[in-house]
Amino acid sequence: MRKYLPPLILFFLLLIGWQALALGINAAYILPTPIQVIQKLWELREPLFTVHLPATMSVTFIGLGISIVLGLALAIAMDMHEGVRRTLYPLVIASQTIPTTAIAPLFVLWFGYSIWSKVLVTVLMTFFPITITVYDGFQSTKREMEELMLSFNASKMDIFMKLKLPNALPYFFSAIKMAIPISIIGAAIGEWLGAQSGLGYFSKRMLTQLDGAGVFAPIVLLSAVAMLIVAIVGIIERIAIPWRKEL
Amino acid sequence: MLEFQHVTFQYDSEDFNIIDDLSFTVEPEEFISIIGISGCGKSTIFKLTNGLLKRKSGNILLNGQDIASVKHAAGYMPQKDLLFPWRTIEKNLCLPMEIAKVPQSEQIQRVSDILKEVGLSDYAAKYPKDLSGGMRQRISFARTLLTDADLLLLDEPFSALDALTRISMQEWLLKQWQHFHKTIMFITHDVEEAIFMSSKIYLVKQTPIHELEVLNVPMDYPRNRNDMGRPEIVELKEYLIDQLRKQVII
Repeated sequence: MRKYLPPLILFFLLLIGWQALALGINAAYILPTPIQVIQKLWELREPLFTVHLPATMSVTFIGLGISIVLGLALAIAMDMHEGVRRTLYPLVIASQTIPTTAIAPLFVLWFGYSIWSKVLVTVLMTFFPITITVYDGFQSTKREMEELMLSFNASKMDIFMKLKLPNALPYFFSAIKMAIPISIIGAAIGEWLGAQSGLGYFSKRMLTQLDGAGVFAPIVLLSAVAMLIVAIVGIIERIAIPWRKEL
Repeated sequence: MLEFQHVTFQYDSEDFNIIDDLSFTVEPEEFISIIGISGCGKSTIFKLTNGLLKRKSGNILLNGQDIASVKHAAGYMPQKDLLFPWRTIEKNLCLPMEIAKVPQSEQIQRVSDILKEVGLSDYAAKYPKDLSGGMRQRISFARTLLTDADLLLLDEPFSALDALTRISMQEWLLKQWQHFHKTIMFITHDVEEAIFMSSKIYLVKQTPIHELEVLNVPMDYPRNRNDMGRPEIVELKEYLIDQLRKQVII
């Protein structure tokens, strides 16, 4: 409990600062107080929790799922073949230079207001950290361990399955923890630019009504959900790879 | 058992042959040590023997056959134990057998037997982090035995251990060697360790390695540490230290 005290203190200090600043500005449409945001969350709990949160989470999880599959496939291919790495690596990097908010409206043109335009934004933003981090995990395998496997007459597949894959697991979990908040941001951006439901869409709708607390409420909800999912992944990680510090 | 015939090897990054026309033999069930200063090329000899490096020319024969064509030619025990932290001790020991596609029931039986031999039966379900440095090296040695090779290459296996554990491990290893009747090639740069363990010492006198000076250790097995004070042993020790010091550049 003691270790959580410093972040909790900081969190409450920030809240107090926010409250004071909002009271000073005294214009809720510009900066609502935290209390007003919580009140709004409570008032709008039904549409937020039953319609918009599930919509955003669908985009997040589908996008994250595709990114994991794509990221792992790319990382494995790049690790297995130097030629593939040389071919794909610049392309993967180039994909991250595309300004997402500029290209996302195009996705709406291509896929309409369906879930897939938002999923594509999420995938574009999250597959990169997964690919690069997992690839680094494969590459971080100790040379001596590979040599030991070779001295046992291990095949390339043996080395990959019995050494590289488990060795990259901590990197995989780090990638997932990094990708979760990004995928939520990706989903929200996609919804901002064109959707009929979702927390991003809801936030934008509240902005048009100059409802400051209404804009903040879904954002706060998104942050809370992101922290919760990252914490759950952290628990799974501790159970799945208790040997992490031994590497 | 093992025969190097005019073997030459060069690393791509270097412009000279680190092993140059080297020939030597090791007899079956011998315990020999290769001794030399750090970076002299001792480990290169091991890597050539277990096929991790490809020779430029010459032959490496095991029982008269080209070593590359022999299955499970040599078991390799590195300096670090290199136990996989995600595997239990039992699963770490199964590793060479998994790769050799040994049936699972046989793997479990053999691991159980070897754990008894190395005195660590209670640790099968533990993870490497639960074991001391000495225990980990015993498991590493057991894993090397499970490769089924008659020739074991031990590359400074005790160099990371504290002095007392190291002494115990040396005595333990000699007992294991006598019990399993394997041929052991042992790399060290510790003169006392080389003398105490081996029947012959192969001294690297210069790099590139053209030849190994073979010195017989005038001591019978089982070994007793008190014998290390005998005049002929002291003389051998002084000779080795003198030869090695000539090569050290400070």
